[in-house]
Order: sequence, then structure tokens, then C-alpha cells
Amino acid sequence: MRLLPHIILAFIAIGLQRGLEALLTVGTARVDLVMIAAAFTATCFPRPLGSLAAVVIGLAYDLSGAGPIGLYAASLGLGGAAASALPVNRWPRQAGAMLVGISITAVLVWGLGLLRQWMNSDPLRAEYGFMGMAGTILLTGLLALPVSLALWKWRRAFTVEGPRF
Amino acid sequence: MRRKRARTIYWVLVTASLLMAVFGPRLGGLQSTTALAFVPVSHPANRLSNWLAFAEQPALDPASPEVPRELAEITAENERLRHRMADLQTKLAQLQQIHEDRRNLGAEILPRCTALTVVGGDGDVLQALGGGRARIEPGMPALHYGREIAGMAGIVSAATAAGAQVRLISDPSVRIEAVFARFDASRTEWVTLSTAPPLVEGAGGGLCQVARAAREDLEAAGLAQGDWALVADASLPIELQGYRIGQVTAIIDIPDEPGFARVLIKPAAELRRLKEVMIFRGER
Repeated sequence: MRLLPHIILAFIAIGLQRGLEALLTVGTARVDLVMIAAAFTATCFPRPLGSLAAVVIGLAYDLSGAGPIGLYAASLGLGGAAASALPVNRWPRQAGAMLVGISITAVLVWGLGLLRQWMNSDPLRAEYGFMGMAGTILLTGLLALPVSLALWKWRRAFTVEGPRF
Repeated sequence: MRRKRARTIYWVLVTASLLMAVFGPRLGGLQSTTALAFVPVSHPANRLSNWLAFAEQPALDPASPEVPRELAEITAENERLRHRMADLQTKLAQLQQIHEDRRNLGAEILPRCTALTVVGGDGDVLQALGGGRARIEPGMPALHYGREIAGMAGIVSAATAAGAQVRLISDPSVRIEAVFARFDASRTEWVTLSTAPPLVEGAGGGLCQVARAAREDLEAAGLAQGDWALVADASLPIELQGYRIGQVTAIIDIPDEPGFARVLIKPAAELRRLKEVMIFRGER
């Protein structure tokens, strides 16, 4: 299994996201490198494993931040499941699958944030608000296109073929 | 079979994550410790980010040799030494500037502070490393300093042996009791405005706010843009009372509540871009 390239990709994505936080944030929106990495990883594995990998990346992201544990794990897991369910045999399809994964993840982060605020009286951070997440989808989606093209060129290092039967 | 097991693990993890995301507590200590694992990437990235943001200039060569050397070897050595000296002079100037800036914290406060280097962040929460043997605990105030002014940066939300997580005053979970004041240049003193004690809370996006204040009260006190919110919180150490929180940037009427306004406050520094925070330990 080609796990190591994905572990390195996720490690770098989370590290860069934490380190470049100020640079990647525009108002309340931000470019989320981890969403891109998780959506890409989800498309590289056969179905249940891709979603599982996205959950693990989300959990690592939660554990390295200051937000509620599980927020990104659940969102990336479900977003990753959507991305991995789509066909990715060409670059435009893979880019599309990643965009779907990113959008679903962002919407879920917003929804779960609202739910937590309602259930737990935990104030919703501006980044997790509607405008923040709408901007995040836009910015992350824009970056995901060129990044996915580069990753598509290197797909041999990442893709894990599923059993054909 | 393996596929089925993977699917089961996936759904267990997703369900547990969903429950934790909605009902779970924040685990600041664990998160702060785990964040250290990403420091090899996040710290250089953070420095790069600051370098790009502030466009730090490379050091200029201050040396000017009066006697030109002829021997190539001596010239090369000279060149190397000039660069080294220029580097050292720049570093010395930076350290002197940091020392000078830190003095803005106040002679009473500076010796009781521990400097932590910011290595990353997550929205209005900073991850900082350092502290050495100093005992840093959750709840300790974090301060910032700059060329001209110093002020409140946030509150330590979690601490480990290697560093701390600082929740900035712009984070919605941070609330500080304050007073509004204006600096009277003619008398060179602060004049407190007589409003009801405002509760300053984070508004996200690097801003603070007083969410609801009586418009009549604000107008009677003459609160205007440019006035300052200063710390007046009994839960914070007495030395920090009167410390700057931020400057009033707007007073906006609340549409649903006639007679009440929201006061937007901009912290005295760009808190998300801080390179260093000073943790006020309290003990001498």
C-alpha cells in the first residue's frame, strides 16, 4: 500500500496550514490545504479506505488545532466518502471529485459548528460561519484545481488500485 | 472481509467524531502537545509567512574598506568577514529593538513575563513555544508589545512543558471587563469615560466588540472612534489594570434593538501576526 506518500502529504499540509495561517486567511475565509490533501487522498484509495484515510487526516488536523475534536474528522470523513464515490479516471473528474469533497466538508464544518453552538453554547468562530465557509470553498476550490493537476501528474506515487472483480 | 472491517471502522470513527464535534469538550492540553509534532513544518512556514508579510529587508553591508586588498585570498576572507559582521550587526540591531520594544510593557511587568515564540495558529488561537523553566498555567494573561504601545494579547488556554496555546482577545470565548478611556494630550493623562462597565469579547477575525451597549449611555459619555478600551477586570492581576485592549473603530446600531449599539474594537496590534507573546506569570 502506498501509504507513506499520503502520510507525508498530510503532514506537510497540516504543518503548512498551521504555520501559514495568517497568510492563508482572507477576512474570515481561508485556503484550507488540509481539505485539498484529504480530498485528494480519498480519491486515491478504494472506497472505504479513502474515506477512512480522510477521517484520520481530519483527526490529526483537529488534534493540532484549537477547535472541537472531531469537527474536521467527521466533516472530512463524509466529504472524503463523497469524493471517493466519484469516478476519477481523468484529471477533470478527479478535480471535480476533490471540489465536491471540499464543498461537502466545508458545509459540514459550518453545520456542525452551528449545531455545537446551539447544543453546547460554544461560540461559533467566524471562520466556521456561513460567510467564512463560503469563502473557504471558493479559495480552497481555486487552489485545488492547479494542485490537483500537479498531483495528477504524480498520481503513480499516490494511487492505490482497488481489487478488480 | 477486510473491506467490511474498514467500513465498520470508518463508520465508528465518523460517528464518534460527530458526537465529539457537537458535545465533546475542548482538549487544549492534548491539542497543544500534538501541535508540536507539526512544528518541523509549521515553524519555518510561520517564519516565512511573517517574512513575506513584513517584507524584511536583507542586511546592508555597513563596512567600507579604505585600503583595497590585492591578494585574492585576503579579499575573499575580507568579504566573508564583512558579510558576517553585517549579519551580526543586523541581529544586534534587531535584538536591541526587541529589548527596546519589550520595555514598553512597563518596568514592573517586564521582569515577571516569559517570552514565547509563536510557531503557528488556528484562527484566533496562537500556538507558542518556549518558556524554559518558567511555570506557565492556563488562565495567565498574554501580552503583546510593539514600537510604541503594548497591550493585552489574550489568555493562555492550555500549557505544556514545551509551550502554550494562547486564545487571543479576538477569540469569541475570551471576555474581559473594561473601561472606555481617552488620552488627554494637554494633561498627558487618561480620562475615563463614564459609561456602564463594558464587557469586551472577541468578535473573530482579529476584532473585539462590546456586543450590546445602551446608545444613550455611550452618547452621554461622548464615546467616539479612536477612544480606547482598557482592562478593568478584577480577575486579572492588578498590574494589568489599565492595559490597552484596543481602539474603538465603529459604533453600530443594532437593528433589532433600538437604543442599543455594538461597539467594534480593534486590538492595538495585528494579533494573528505576532512573532512573540509575553506571558505575565504574576510572581516576582
